[in-house]
Amino acid sequence: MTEVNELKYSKERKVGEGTYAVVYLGKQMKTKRSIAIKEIKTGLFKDGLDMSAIREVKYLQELKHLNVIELIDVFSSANNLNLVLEFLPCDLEVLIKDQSIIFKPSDIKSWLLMTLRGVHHCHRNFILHRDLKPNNLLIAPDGQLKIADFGLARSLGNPNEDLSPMVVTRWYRAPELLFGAKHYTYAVDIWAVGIIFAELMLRIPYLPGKDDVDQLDVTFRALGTPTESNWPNVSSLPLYNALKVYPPPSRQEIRLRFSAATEKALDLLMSMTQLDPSNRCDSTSALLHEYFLELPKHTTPAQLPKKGGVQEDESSKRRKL
Amino acid sequence: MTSKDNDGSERKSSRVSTDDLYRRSTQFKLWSFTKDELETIRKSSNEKGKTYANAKFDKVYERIKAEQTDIFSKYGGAELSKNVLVDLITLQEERKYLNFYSKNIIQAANFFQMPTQVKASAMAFFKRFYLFNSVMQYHPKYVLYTCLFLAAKSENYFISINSFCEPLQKTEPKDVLDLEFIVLQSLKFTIMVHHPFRPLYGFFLDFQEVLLQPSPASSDITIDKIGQLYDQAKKWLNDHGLISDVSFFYTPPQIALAAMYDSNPRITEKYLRRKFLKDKEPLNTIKEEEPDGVDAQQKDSLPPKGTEVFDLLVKTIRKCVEDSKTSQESTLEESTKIGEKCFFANNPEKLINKKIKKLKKLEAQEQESPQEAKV
Amino acid sequence: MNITEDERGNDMCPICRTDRYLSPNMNFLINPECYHKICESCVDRIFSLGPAPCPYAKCGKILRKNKFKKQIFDDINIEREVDIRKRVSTIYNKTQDDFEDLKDYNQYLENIENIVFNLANDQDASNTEAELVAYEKEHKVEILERQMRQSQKNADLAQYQEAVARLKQEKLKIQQHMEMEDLEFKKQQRQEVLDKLSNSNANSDDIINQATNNSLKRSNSRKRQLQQINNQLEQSFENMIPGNQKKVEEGNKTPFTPFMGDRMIEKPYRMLAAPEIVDINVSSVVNSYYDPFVNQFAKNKEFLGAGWRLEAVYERALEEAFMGLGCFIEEEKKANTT
Repeated sequence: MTEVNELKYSKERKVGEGTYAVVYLGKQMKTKRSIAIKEIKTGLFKDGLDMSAIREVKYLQELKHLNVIELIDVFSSANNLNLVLEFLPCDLEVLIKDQSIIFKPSDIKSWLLMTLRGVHHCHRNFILHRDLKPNNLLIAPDGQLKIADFGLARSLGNPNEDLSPMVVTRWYRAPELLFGAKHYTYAVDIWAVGIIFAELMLRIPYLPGKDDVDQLDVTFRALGTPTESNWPNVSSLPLYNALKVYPPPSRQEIRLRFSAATEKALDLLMSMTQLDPSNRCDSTSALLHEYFLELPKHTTPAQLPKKGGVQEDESSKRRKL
Repeated sequence: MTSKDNDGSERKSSRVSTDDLYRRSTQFKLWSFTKDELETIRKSSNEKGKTYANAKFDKVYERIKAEQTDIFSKYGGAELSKNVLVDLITLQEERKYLNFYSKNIIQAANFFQMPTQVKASAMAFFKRFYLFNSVMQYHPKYVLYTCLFLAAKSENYFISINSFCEPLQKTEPKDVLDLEFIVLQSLKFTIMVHHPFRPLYGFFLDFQEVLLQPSPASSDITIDKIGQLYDQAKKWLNDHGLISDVSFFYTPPQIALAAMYDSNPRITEKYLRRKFLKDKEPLNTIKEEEPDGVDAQQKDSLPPKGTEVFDLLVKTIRKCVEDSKTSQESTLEESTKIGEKCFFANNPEKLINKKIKKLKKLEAQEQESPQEAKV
Repeated sequence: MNITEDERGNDMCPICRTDRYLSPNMNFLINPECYHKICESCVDRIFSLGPAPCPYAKCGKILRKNKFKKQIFDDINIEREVDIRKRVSTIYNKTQDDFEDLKDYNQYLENIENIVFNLANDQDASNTEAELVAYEKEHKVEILERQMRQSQKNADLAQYQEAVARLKQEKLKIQQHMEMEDLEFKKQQRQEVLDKLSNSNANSDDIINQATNNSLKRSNSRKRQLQQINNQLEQSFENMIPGNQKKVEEGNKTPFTPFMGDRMIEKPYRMLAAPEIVDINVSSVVNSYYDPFVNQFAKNKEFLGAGWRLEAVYERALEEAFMGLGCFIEEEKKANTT
C-alpha cells in the first residue's frame, strides 16, 4: 500500500512550504481530479511524528461531510507522510479582502450556513476544531465551503481533563480562552464563527487585537467587560482581570456597527458572541435560527462570488501549513 | 421499521443516525470483522511471517554455508540441514505470544500512570498491528512501546521520547521512533479508537433513568446496586475487554452491555427489557410477554423495536461475553519457549551460529573424550 | 298549555329531565339525522362508546357522537334547511368563474334552490336525494378539485390576515424599543451635559450647543434607521403574501434543511436534569443522576466559568452509549461481502 500509491497521484508543482509540511498541487491519475498533496516531513522532530500531523490525520480520517475538507488518501513516500486532500483553490479570507467583490446578504448567509454545518458535524462527532478563521475556510470550485486545518483539533475527553487555552488564532479567540480557561467547550468554536460572521459583514476583522493583552481590551471594548453578574464564575478563571470596565453595548450601538444587518442577523450574531460561554448558542440552535428562514434565502454555492477572474491565484494557496 | 433496516444496506432515509455515525467510523469500516474474516487475515499474516522468516533464513544460511564449508559438508545433511534448524512459529503460538505481550502494555501504561484511554488505544494499536504483521517480522517488544508512545500522543497525553524511554530497559529513542511510521502505516493511518468505557458510563446513567426513575423497578434495585454493577463492569472491561478479540467483533456499546451483563445478568436484562420491550410495568403483570406488534410502533427511541431487536441484542451480548473469555492464555514456560523461537526467527544468524557452536563443542568433546578416558 | 309546554321543552332535557333552571350550564345538541334535541351530558353518556340509536321513542335512528352540534336557529326547520343547503352546496360547488355565461350560472343556482326546497320540505324527497347522490358520484373528482381550490383561497386569506397582523405588531415592537432607547439616551445626554457643566470650565453655551447638535444628528440617523427596518419588514411581508411566495418557491422547490440530515431528532434515551444541589453524600437523587465522581466538578467555579456543564458530560456519555448499539458487525459485514 505504500509505493504503489505514489504512482496514483502526480505532484505538479509546489504551492507552499511550512515548518512541517510542503504542499503540492497534482492530479489523481485515474480520475484526473485535481488534488493537493500535503507532504509531512517525518524524522525531523525529536519526539517523532508531530502532534499537528497526528491530529490532522486522526480527525480527517473520521470526518466525512460536504463542508469539511475531504482527506482522499494517505500514503507514505520515502518515510514522508502524504495527505491527499481535495483541491480547494480559494479561501474566505481572500474573498473578504478582495474589495472588487460585493457580498450580498444572501452570500453571507450561505457561507455562514455552510460553516455552521461543517462545525455541527465536528461537534456531533465530539471534535473541537479550535482554529476557525477565514483562511481555514476554503472554497471549492463549485462554491462549497470546507473547513480545513485540523492541526489543533481534539476530541472532548474526560470530564476533568485539562485542555490548553493556547488555541485559536488571536482575533477569533473566545473570552474564556483569553482568561486561560482549561475546561472550555464547543462554545469556543461558536465564538469564532460569530466573529467570522461579523467579519463577513464588515469586510474587516471585527476584533483585531495587537497582542494577547490588547485582544482582551479590544474584545471588551466591543462587547463589554464581563463581570460576575453577566457571567457567573468568570472571576474564578485563571487569568481573569477587569481593570478596565467597559459597559456592554446597547442594541443600538450594535445596529450602527452592522448597518446592513437585519434584526434577525443581529440576534444570531449576538447569540454567537455572548461573553459567557454558557449563554452562547450551540451549532444546533444556530442552524435552527430564524435568520436562515427569513428572506433573502441563502445563495446557492454555485452562484456565490468567486475570486475575480483569476482562477489560480498563487497567493491564495500559500496558506499556513 | 423492523430490524431488517438495520443491516445497513436498506436504509432509505438520508438522516444520519448515531448508528450511522458509527458505521462511518474507520473503526467500523476498517477494523471490524466477522470471525471468519479475522481468522483468514491472521492465517495469511502468519504465512506471510513464515515466508519472510524463511527468506531471511535462506539468505543467512547460504552465506554461512559458503563461509564454513567444512562443517556444512559434515553436518549439512543432518544437524545443519534447513529442515532441522528452522522451527517457525505457528498461528496458535503467535496468538499466545501476543496475548502474553499485550499484558505488558497494561503494565507499562500503569507504570507511566497513563489514563485508561491511552492504555486502551495502545492495546487497540497493538492488536491491529499484528493483524497484518507477524511477530516473525517485527518483534513485539518495541512494537509495544511504539504503540504506547503513539497512543499517548494521539490521546493528548504527550510524553517526550526521552522521559518515555528512560525507565524502559534496553530501549533507545531510536528503537521506538524507527517503528512509529511503520506502526502508523500498518494502522492504515487511522488512529481514532472508540472504546467501551464512555458508553459504559452512559449506561450507568441510563440504568438509573430506566430502572430507578420515577420509582425503582423493583425493591432490590437501588442506586448502590447499580453503582456496584458499574464498578464491576469497569473491572470487567479491563480484565476481559481489553485483551480479547471482542473489539473486532462488537461495537463499544455492545461490549459495555456485555460487561454489565456478565457482572449482573438479572439487572442488565431487566434494563434491556424495560428499554427495548417498553416493559415499564411491574414484573408481576402479564405485560412482559406483550407481542412486538403493538410495542414496536409506540416507542420512539431506537428505530428498530420490539422483541426482534431485544432478542438480537441479548444474543449478541451473550456471544460477546463468551468470546471475551476465549483468549489465548499461556504459561510462562510456554511463552519463554515461543519467545526463543521468535528471537531466532528474527535473527537466523544467531540460530545457525548457535547450532554450529554447539556442534563444534560436541566435536571437541568427542575428540577429548578418548583422552579423558585415559585419565 | 302548548306554549308552556314548548317553553318547558326548551329548558328541560327530555331524556334525563335535567332542568335548565337547576343546571344553568346545560347545553342542547342536535344530530342532523333526526334533529331531536338531547342535552350534552346525555350525548356524552349515550354515544361516547360508539354509534347508538336516538333515545327518542319511535325515532331510533342510529346516531354518531361526532355529528352532534349546537342548534343555531330556534326553528328546527330552518336549522334543517341550512344544513341541507350546506350539504347540497358542497356537492354543487361551482362558482361563477366556472360559467362563461351568467345565465347558466343563475340556472345552476336555481337548480340548487329546487333541490334544497325539495329535500327540506319533503317534496319528492327520495327522488331528489337519489339524484343528488348520483350527481355526486358522477362528478366526484371535479367536486373535490373545486373544494381544494376553495380551501386554498380561504387559507390564503387567513394567512394574509395573519401576516398583516404580525407586521403591525413587529413595527410596533421595534418602535417601542427604539423609543425606550431614545429615552435612555436623552437621560444619559442630560446627565453628561450636567456633568460637563459642573466639571469643566468651557463655555456653557458651547456645551449645550454641542449636545443639541449631537441629539439632532442622532435623531436623523434614527429616522433613517427606522425607515430601513420598516423597509425590511415590508419586504419580508411582501414575500409572505401567498401569491408572491409562490413565485419565490417556484424558483427553488427544495425545502430548506439546515442540517441536511446530519442530526438525530429523537434521542434513544431520556436525559435527566443535572442535580439541583450537588451533594455528593446524598445517594438518593430524585429525577437526576447519582454520580459522586463527576458531580463534584459541578461545584468547581473554574470549571463552571469556562462553560463546563454537567449536562454536557451526561449527554456525551449517553450519545456514545447508543452510538453503534444497533450495528451488528457479524450480520452487516456478511451482508456486505455477499
